[in-house]
Amino acid sequence: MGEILGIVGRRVVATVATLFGLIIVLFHLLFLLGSPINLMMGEDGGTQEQADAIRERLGLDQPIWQQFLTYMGNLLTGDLGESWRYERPVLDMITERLPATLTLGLLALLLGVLIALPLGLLAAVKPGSWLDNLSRVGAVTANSLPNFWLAIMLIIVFAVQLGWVPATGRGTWQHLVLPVIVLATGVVPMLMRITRAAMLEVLNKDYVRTARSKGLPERTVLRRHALRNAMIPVTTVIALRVGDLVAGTVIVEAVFAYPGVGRVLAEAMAFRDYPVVLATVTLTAASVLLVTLITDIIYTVLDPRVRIS
Amino acid sequence: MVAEPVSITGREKNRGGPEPVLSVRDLVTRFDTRYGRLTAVRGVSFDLYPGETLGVVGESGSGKSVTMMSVLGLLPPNGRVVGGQVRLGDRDLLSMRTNARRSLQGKEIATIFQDPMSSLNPVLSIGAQIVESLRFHQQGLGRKAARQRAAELLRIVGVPNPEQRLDEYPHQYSGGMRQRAMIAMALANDPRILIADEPTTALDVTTQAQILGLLKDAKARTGAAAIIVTHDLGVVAETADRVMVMYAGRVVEVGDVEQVFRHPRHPYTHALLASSPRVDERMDKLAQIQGRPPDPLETPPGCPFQPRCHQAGSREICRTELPPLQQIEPAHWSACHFAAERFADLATRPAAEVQAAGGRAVAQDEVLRIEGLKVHFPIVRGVLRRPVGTIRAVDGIDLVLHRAETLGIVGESGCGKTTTGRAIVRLVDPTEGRVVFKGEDVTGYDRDRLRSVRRSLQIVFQDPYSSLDPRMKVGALVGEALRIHGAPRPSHRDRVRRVLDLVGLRAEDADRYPHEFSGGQRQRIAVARSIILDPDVLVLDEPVSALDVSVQAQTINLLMDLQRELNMAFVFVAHDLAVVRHISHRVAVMYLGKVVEAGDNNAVYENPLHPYTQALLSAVPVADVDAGERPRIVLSGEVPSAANPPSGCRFRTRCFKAQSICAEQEPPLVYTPTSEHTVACHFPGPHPIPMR
Amino acid sequence: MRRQESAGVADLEPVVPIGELEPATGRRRRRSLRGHTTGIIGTVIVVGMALAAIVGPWLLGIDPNAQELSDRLLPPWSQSGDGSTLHILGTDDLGRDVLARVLEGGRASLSVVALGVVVGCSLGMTVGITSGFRGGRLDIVLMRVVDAQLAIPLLISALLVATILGTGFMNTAVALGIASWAVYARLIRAETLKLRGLDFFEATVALGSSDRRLVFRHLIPNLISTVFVVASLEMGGLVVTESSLSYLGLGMQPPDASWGSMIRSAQPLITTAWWLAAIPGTAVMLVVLGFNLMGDWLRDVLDPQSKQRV
Repeated sequence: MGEILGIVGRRVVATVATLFGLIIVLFHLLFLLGSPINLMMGEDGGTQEQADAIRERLGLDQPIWQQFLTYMGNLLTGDLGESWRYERPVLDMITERLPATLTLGLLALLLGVLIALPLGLLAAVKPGSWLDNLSRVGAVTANSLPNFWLAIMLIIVFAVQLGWVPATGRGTWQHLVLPVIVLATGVVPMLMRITRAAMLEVLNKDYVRTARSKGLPERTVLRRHALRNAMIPVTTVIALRVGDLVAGTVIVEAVFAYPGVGRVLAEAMAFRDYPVVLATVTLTAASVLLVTLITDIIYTVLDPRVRIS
Repeated sequence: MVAEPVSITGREKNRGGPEPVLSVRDLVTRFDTRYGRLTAVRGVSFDLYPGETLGVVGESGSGKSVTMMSVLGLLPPNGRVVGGQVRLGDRDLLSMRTNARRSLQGKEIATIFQDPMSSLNPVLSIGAQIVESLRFHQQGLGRKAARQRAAELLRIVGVPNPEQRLDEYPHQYSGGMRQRAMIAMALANDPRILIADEPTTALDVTTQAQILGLLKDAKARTGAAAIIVTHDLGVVAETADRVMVMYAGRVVEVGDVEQVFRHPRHPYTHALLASSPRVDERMDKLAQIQGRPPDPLETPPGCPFQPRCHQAGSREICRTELPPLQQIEPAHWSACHFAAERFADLATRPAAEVQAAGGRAVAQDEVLRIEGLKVHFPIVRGVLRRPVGTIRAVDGIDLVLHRAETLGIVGESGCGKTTTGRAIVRLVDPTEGRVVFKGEDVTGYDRDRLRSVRRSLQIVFQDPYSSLDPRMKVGALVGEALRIHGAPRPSHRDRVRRVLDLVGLRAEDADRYPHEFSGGQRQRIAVARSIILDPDVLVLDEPVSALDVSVQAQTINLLMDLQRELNMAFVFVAHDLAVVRHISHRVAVMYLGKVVEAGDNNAVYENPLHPYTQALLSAVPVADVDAGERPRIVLSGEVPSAANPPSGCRFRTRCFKAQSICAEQEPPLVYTPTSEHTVACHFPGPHPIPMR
Repeated sequence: MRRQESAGVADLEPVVPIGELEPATGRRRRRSLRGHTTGIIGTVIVVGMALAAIVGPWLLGIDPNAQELSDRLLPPWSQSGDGSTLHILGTDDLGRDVLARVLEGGRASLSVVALGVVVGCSLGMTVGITSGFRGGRLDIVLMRVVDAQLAIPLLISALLVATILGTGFMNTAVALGIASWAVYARLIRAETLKLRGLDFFEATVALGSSDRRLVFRHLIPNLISTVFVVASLEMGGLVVTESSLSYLGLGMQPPDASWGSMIRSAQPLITTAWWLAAIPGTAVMLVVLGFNLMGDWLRDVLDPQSKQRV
């Protein structure tokens, strides 16, 4: 148990360090390279004085290291700065939208896993069967669909033509149906392929042969000896897919006019609202790193070789 | 493609003994591969009688393992039994349904596999894996009782602290302990048949001796019949009652071990025996089987061994007719048209005066000297790579190598022999000590200065598959050294051709890629590459251990010829004591980073003075049924960790002579008053029981 | 220690008992075309779309930016008002020919993605080889950077770079490259480590070879197939990312056609003119499908061991 805590502790430290480094790099990239002022002042431009005034108000006239120190200082107190565009605390903007995005993302992940795992496992147990072939064709096709386009097509068919669900917005569970389907479509193909490949690999292992040689019926061999070993790589892939899921919410929220963090991010980028960009991108990375961390921990529990080494 | 049925009717009558427990008839197994359909087993028939041990030998590709997996119903998904019968008592296994058939396994037939690491499930504890086997076959056995029985089984197979080790996972067990756990699992339900597929191939020789002894005990305890599949003729000679020799998917010879080993009735068996080097006797030159086994995808008519046969000559019938397995004498069958003939003696015994001189005479000028060599590797942890310990892979050794001489370095895995070889050619940097090459201390040389040394100090690796760049043609590979060292360009092609010729390859081979060659040929390419600059010293790191016996003999003969012709000195690193005995002039025995005994080859092998050398030599199985019962020194325990070696003499924890001084003082490597060679032991001397 | 043949096969893909086959034959057989159908379909799609994008506009001879307001929103396969042109895929809200615009957009999308792959690939290879070959602390630092980069999803990295650099062809290509380099870096590093551990590498060191020779004569030639496989698998993802960028208005800008921006401007019209969104979307899907099929096939052919790897 102490060993597990040690490993987990090291991973947490590494994750926090990565995140910290990321903030440093992102901050400098945005605030050194980007020059938002011209864009903010619009097409007709403005006088030099106006620009300077904005700079001063936003603190952009200070040297970069000072800006950075201020930002980091505020960050430690939980202050993510203020949106340039809306002149509101970034933290508020994110927290009020986060539940919507989380609902969307988690539902999609759940749906994706529920579809991909059984299909992948069944395909591996009977390679070359109709189910295997069908799911493979389905996966390749689904993997080739750009999600924004799929979203639009679903809207045309199910919202506009059939009128079964609302096209855009948020509120009822019907609003969630199409976005969740679109997001899940992005998760399923890769997850299914990996499950199939991992299971196939495990089924070829010597220890599965040993289990069979002990006389255990095939069901027990699969459940007890193959499944757990196959799940080890699968958990890693689920973690990797979370990144795509987050990226997917940016698109899906835009298409369905769904008010979530993804929209905040996309809008902030379009308007060069750097404090918001910085916070949302960091949040994205943090969620991916967090899930990776959690899978690492699950990994440690699943695989004794990591646990005791 | 259709395998001829093999007639062995009459065997039962002949034996007149009990009914066989397992009876296989005309078994044919196919694989669908991307290269086409491959018939791996072509009509194999055999019987296994109660209580006996049947040894199945053959080289890779002979179909010996596939035969067993077919019997067990454990073929990989692309493999299929397409014909024949497998009878267990009065049940025909091949016509049973999968689950019904499988329920006989683990209960009536138990299996032990080659690699105990990959054959145990890494995420389940050893205890769980044994208990599972027990409770599945013995309904009504409680959880507690099963656990108790599992601990009991572990104790029987010699796992210390069984109660505690039940809860450990396979990766926490050493190789030998894992194989013990495997055996415990196989014994769980008192099977009637025990099938062991290369049970000791992945193990060191002293561990092999322990496991073979354990298998013998287990068999005696349960009264089970056993099949041991192996490539090692020695293992068969020492464990089996009967032996079955396979070649190209067929049985070529079956019989009682004494008969087959004394008077082999098939030219293949005959040649195989003559081409294995022996640890107990020195031969001048190994017999070699030319060529290689037939392509399993092609089936030329006639005897499959005909193209390589010493005896066939140009006899028509061998090329046109497949010889059936026929009875030669009671309990002895052979599949040769001319089994009744006397085969020519293939082995050349050394002339008496050469043996007395300790092999071939060698010049005494020194080319390489190693003084106090230490190679330590830090054990690092975490992202910051904090050092948390040191592996003392090589811990202070001295060696001398003379011109045109072969120095053999032997020892079990982890003894530091490979690291020593790599440190000599500076693939790892010595932590301490000096490497003096032709009078020049090259220890502190940087890469640029080393380059000139490397022209004449070369290495050949174990694995002929990974030691050649797959994207380069053979000519470019062999000639690479010329380009690196800036030899005049126009001469390259000629020199490549010459060296290819030296190692027995054709000039046209320069334009082919490595993957077009077999393992033995690739090893020739690797040798050609390292001798093209005419080095003075060649380090050979297990150069033949990945090769089959017949190919191994070819390669050893080639190396010995090359040495005579080119006056090269070899450092020959190997775990195989017989091979080292055959090829070396002098030998150094290593244990846990130290040389424990060194000196003239014959002196060390004939008169070992260190208890470890004695144990090592006694553990090697000899492929000779007339060698008599040799006393076997079975070492207790396992090799300690090189990160934390024992104080004083490193061997003391396993030594049968150990006393208190051994823990306090490290014995130096010195001559004893009467010995012709050096030994590092406080109590050197012959083993109380004479070795031969 | 020596390992003998065993009937069980540890590898995932080659269900041939290797020990049974290799030493005996020592050569490979030519494979049949079976099992290559999907790969060939994929390649045909990719090559076909690329050709269409290159020579299509010239063959069609319609200016993709020519507006004709009297011919607004014509459905596919209609004649223009003056009967002079057949609009095979209809027209958009400004009366521009959709087929011409799809072809033009394909030219832009495919070339920007190709350039993006070159940028990402060279960046990733440099980092991956350096990291794997040098090792030590540099390796640790570089891999941390890769981890951090991989924590930001492809699309979001691309959006971020595009936000900083601005829109347009070159900037989009750079954004795609920067967003995708880490995948190459990680795989190339892994492959470099694997190759470096092989005996032939050490054998070459022992021959006295320089690092330069090791990297350029032995390492890179052995990495090429991996790079090819990863690049072709990445292509599909980059096509989607590029069209997403344009869809979000951060890629290539109108009036230049690009598949993403075409869909973006078609979205308000989906109830009246479905083809405006459906056609460029189908184009994206076909190209991505082509690349995916081709990539899988290349992986099977060039690098069968990596089947289980993503």
